[in-house]
Amino acid sequence: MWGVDLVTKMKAGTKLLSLVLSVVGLGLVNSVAGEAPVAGSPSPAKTGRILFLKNCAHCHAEDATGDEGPDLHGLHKSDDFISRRIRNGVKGEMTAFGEKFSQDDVKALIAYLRTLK
Amino acid sequence: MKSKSKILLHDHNHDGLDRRGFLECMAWAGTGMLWTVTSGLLGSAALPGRAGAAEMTRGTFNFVQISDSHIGFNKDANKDVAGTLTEAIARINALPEAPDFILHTGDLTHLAEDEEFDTLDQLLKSAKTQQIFYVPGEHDVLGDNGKKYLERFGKNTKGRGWYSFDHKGAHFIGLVNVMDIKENGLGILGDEQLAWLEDDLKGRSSSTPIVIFAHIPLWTVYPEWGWGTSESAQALGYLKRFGSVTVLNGHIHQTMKKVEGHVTFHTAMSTAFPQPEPGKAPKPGPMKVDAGKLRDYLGITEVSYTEGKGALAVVDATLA
Repeated sequence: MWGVDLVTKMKAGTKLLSLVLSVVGLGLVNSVAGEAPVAGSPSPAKTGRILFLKNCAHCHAEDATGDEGPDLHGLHKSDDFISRRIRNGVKGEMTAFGEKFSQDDVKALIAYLRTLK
Repeated sequence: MKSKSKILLHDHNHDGLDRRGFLECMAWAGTGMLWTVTSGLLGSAALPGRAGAAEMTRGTFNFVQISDSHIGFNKDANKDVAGTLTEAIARINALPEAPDFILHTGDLTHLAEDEEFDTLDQLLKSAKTQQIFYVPGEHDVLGDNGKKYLERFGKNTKGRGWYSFDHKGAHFIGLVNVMDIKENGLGILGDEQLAWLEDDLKGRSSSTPIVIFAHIPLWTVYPEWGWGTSESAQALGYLKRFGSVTVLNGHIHQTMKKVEGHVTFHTAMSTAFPQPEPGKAPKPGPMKVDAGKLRDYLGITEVSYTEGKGALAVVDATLA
C-alpha cells in the first residue's frame, strides 16, 4: 500500500504527463501512476468518487464526513480490511456490496477513500 | 401532543382560477390532518385524536400507504423499528373499515438482509387487508441491485420491478426510481421504464383516476439532499391529460403535500424514524427526538377514492 503523500505526488506528476500527452494529440488523460494509461478512462479515484456518491453518500454524506455512517476521512485500515468491509458489510450496520461491486470497483473506491485526509 | 405538517394548496378546481403558490403551514393538536378535494372544492380538517381516521369520509374504496419501515435499523433514532411497525399495523387494523390494500412505498428494510425481509413479511401478515403492494427503496436494493427484493416482490412486475394494476375504476402505477441512483442522490426512472409508462397510459380514458407510487418523491422536494427524481417532469408529462393524478412517495420520512393543477403530490411519514425538514439540519440522516415525541413523527396514510369525485382524499395519522 502506498503512502498518501507518495500517491498524491505521483498523481500530480501523472496529471502533468497527461496534459503533455493531450497536447501532443494522444488523448491520454487522468492515468494513475502504476497503471497503463487508457485513452479516455477516468482515474480509479475519480471512478471511486462516482461509485461513492451513488452508493455510499446516502449514509456517509456527500463529503464523506459521516451521517448515519461514520466519517471516512483519514482511514488507517489496510486496503484488505476496507475491501472486506465493502464486500461483506457489517451485520445490522452496513450494506454488503459483494454482489454488486467488482474487484475493480472496490479498488476504485479504496483509491477514492485514500484521497480523504 | 402536537405534530407539524406543511400543506401546499393549489388550484384544483379546473375553474380557471390560479391558486398556485398558496402555502399554508400549520401546527395542530391531534393525530392527523384530513385534506380532500372533491368536485373541485378543496378543504382540510384536523383529525381529533386517535379515532380521527374513523371520521374520514368513506369512499368507493380506501387503501393505506405505509413507508420506510427500515426493518433492521437499530440506532438511537429508534431502536425498535419492528415495534413501531407493529403499532402502525395495529392502527390500520383499528380502522373502521379494512383497507382494500396497503401500498408500501419502499425502504422495507434497512440493509436488505434476508432476516429483515422475513421480519417485515411476518409482521405484515397480521395486517387486515386483502393485499399489499410494494415498491423498493434504495435500502432494499443497494447492495445487490435489487436481487433479493425482486426474488420476493418482483413476480408479475416489469423490468426492474415496476408494474400497474386497476382497482375499482382507478389505475395504479408502481414505479422504481432507486436503481442506479444518480451521483447527486436524485432518483432515476430510466428510459426503459419511461417508455413502459408512456405505453401503459396509452388508450386509457383521461377520466381514469391515476395513482402513481414510488419511493423517492416524483417532485423536487429538496435536490440538495437528493429528494427528487431526475426525470419526473417527463413522467408527469405523460399524465397531463388525466383529470385526477395522485402521486404517493416516501423516502423523506415526513409529510409534504402539494397540489399542482390536476396532480396531487404527497409524501408519507416513516414507521421507523424521522428525518429533518429540508435544509433544517446539516445532513438528512435519521433524526433523534425525545423518546416521548417519537410517535408524533411516525405514522400511516389513509387514502379514499369516491367514484365521480375529483381527487382522492388523503389522511395522515401519526402513531401518537
